[in-house]
Amino acid sequence: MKETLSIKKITVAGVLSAVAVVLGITPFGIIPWFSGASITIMHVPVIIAAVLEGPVVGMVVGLIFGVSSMIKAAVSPGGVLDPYFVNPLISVLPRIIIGLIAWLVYRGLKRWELPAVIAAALAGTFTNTVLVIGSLGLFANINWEEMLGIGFWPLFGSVFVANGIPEAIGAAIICTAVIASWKKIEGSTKKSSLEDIDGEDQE
Amino acid sequence: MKELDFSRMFTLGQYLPGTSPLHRLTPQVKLIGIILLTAGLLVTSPVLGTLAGIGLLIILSLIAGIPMKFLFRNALPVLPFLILIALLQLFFTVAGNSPVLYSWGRFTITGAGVLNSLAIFLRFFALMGLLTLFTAVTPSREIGHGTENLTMPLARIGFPAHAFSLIITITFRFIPLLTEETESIMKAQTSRGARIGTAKNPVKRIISYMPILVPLFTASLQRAEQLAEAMEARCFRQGEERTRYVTYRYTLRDGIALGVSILFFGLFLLFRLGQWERVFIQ
Repeated sequence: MKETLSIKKITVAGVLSAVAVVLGITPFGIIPWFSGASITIMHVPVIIAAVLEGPVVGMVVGLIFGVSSMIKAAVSPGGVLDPYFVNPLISVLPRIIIGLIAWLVYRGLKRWELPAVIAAALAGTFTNTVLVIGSLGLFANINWEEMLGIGFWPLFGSVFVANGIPEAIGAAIICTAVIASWKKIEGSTKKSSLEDIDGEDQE
Repeated sequence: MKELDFSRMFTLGQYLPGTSPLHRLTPQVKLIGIILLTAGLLVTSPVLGTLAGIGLLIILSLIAGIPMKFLFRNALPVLPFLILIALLQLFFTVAGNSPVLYSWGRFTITGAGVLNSLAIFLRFFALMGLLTLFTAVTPSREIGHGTENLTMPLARIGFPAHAFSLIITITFRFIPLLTEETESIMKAQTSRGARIGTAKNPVKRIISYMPILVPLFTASLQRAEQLAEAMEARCFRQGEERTRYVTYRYTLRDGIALGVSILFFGLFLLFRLGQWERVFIQ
């Protein structure tokens, strides 16, 4: 364990964390949805980081995303659930785990590159949905039954179907587009002619 | 074009320059302080402990010379939700052994209900004030430096302390850059005839975001790669021999601040363990 992170891993982690924060402050991170509750794609940088640079980078980006969402909930709250997101058990911990799960899924299916990316995006998003709502149920001390008229588990299920699934599809589309163009996965893009020139120069 | 200007929407904490004792604390002490006090506020008893935290917050804001109005200026939009949640808690908290204070039809107000709804308000305001105060007295570069100095001892057992603090520094540096990048991508796509975010249909709206998000991600990854190459070309190396332009020294002030943080953390735990609020519930 003497080896520290490579410079490229450090810069990618830093920049993708910044993307997660930027998505939070611009309107692109949160999209109004049919079900009333908005859907989010702010966790996408975490998945991309995990797929491109491994679990450590994914978890670091998740940590910074989580802390930024916690500070945002406290400093400029905008939604009904924001008062609960000042609790790091709800806002930070689940986001760290996204990176780990997304990487594990990607690693397991690595033989088929594109399906692996899609599966990692789906798994990462569902981790986010399940763990954030789950920790809300565990730690937020809300009496769901009386407050919203339905119990916690039916609520969990309906949020999962109404928000989790569209979020996962959105995340899968963005991750595939970004990673395919970045890694130049076979068949998705052609190699640029400039790179051939670079290669010759180095020899 | 007002909707294309994101810089003014940057609300993740605002630094207020100053020379108060709180501003001049060593970054490590500020970080330890905010972690101890946040953790303490999360575990402490809902009413008495949180009130003690708000008391501390008032004293700290006086020391820092930051008006309480600044700390809570963003509370207004969320206030209606808070009141709604608190009211629901007030009427619907079911606690078997809690004394019924008032009863009307199927609505009953119990001691536990009053306590719960009060706790939601107090805890939210305490944490909001604390985090706003922290960002008001801490410039972003200090957060990176503080994290590095704080995690240095962990480097011996393999924790990449330097790398971690560098990641945080890069993040802060790139937030304004990428906000600008987003703006220019939006302008570029709008000039090509893209209609962004105007569709009412959510599915069409997501599709209209794609020409922004994909270039944003690839441009950021490109910047990360260029940065890595530039750093390598300048012989950047990680390790203990690196020096910094700004160095921090511990002073008596830091000792006092550290002492106060630990004291209050202990106090918060004491309130939790003491459970003096039980008298209201039972």
